[in-house]
Amino acid sequence: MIELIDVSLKYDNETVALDDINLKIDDGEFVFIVGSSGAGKSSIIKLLLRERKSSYGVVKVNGFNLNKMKSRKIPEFRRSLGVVFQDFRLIPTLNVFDNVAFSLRVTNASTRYIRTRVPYILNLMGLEAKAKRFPHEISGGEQQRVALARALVNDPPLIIADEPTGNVDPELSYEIVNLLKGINECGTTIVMVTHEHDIVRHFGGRTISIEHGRIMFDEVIGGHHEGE
Amino acid sequence: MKANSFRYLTKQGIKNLWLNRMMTLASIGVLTACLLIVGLAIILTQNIDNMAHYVEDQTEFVAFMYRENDYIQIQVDAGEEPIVATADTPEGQTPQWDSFVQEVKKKIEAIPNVSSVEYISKAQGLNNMRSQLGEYASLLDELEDDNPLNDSFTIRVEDLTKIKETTTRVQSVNGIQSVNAANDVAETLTFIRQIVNAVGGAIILALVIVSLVIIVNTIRATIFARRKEINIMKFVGATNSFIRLPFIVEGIVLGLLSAVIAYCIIWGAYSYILNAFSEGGIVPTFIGSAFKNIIPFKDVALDLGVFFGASSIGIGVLGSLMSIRNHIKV
Repeated sequence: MIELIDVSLKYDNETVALDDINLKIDDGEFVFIVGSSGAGKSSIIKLLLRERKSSYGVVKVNGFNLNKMKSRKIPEFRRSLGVVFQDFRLIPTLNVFDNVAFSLRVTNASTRYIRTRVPYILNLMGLEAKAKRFPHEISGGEQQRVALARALVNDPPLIIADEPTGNVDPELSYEIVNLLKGINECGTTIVMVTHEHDIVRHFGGRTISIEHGRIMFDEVIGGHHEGE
Repeated sequence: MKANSFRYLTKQGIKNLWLNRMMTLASIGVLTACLLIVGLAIILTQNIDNMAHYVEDQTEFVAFMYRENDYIQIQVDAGEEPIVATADTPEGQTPQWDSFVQEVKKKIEAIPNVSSVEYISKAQGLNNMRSQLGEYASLLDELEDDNPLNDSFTIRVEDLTKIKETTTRVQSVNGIQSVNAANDVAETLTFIRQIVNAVGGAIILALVIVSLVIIVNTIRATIFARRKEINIMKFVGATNSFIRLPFIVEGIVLGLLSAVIAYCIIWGAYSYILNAFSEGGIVPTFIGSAFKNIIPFKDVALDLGVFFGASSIGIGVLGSLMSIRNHIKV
């Protein structure tokens, strides 16, 4: 569950990136956060990942109070969620298998568990044939699926996707969102940040629009292919 | 951290060395060069120190006894009971004089800082002189009946820096007429030794710091190239120690490899030079003899090995930690 109460974020005590945001996302929801660039979308992501602390207000994610949390708790907190970035952020020196396994390794998972869990997730993402490939040897869409597999492998209750379709071909964008939808149907909360209105209109669902650091609207819109 | 994580991260560290092998090679080269210079400085300092020590050990001073008759005269003048009954005791050692000499020797030996006392009787002194003169020894024949030399003691000290104090105390022993000490030489030697130690120490310290700076920069360069990787690790929930360990492994391996290479080079070069200067070597013997006091490699081997091992691992670990510090805060 995500809860933002009276949250403001200022950079260098000057630029106001977020202004008095109140937001609650319940377990199991699928939420789009939309807005043009510079509207404050990435600032929200930064707060949710505890890359930054908010200037005012309370940020709660997965039961962690992010502003009060001690630095040494950050790794534990970040393991409670999966993240997918626009630029994939795969480790270039590790192959697909090891990139996905890395999420498990940081939790001190046993080698035996890694050997069964990682192939299972790769299979789910249709990547079983690419396990030995390195990130630069596979396509953008495949790289994003690897990133998604890495986010999923720990079975987190929440996945945050920051423009996951930004660097993949349009036809593959729908495939990625479909995957996220499928994950959501299994009970995982998904927060997806995007500026592609076509995708939002296509899938529909709860949509939060942010402009100039404020929430413009927060409502459920009907998609053309609801629940596809 | 669990054992399997530790194993995995250690493997990652070694794998990274191979993946960034150009950087690895550069780091090893630089670190080896630094260690070579440090090793050279250590060996040079130890050798100079050793030579100075040797010369110090050779430094002795001589204390002359009064001539027997003169001493009796002094005693008589002072109104004391002379050690020998008659004033006109014939030349040559009387039993009483002998025991007086032994008494003086004991007194000198009891003085602190005196390491050895050797008694040279005047007859012995004359013989020594004879052997020094060689074919002109017959010149001394005339002195045989009327030996003009004094009985003397050759004294060596433990600590050359305190030689002045020691000579004063020897001088004050009853029966000693004069002390002949090369105090200036002693002071100069001690001064040189102190200078060499201080300068050597400073050079070694400076070079260790230089090595540290260089290794920090080399590792920093590799880390900068991998800052994205570190960033990703942080977002996946890796703890700082999880991220650090491979880098520390890299640092240790880099340091140890460089240490082994530098050690072998110094070993080889030093032994070669030592062989060349020793008898039967390529350098003429008369030059070689001046290098007799060079420390054989086995005497410095352990010290140098321990120093190289410890400093290279230390530099490696410290270098990794220092260079990663700025990138780990996300």
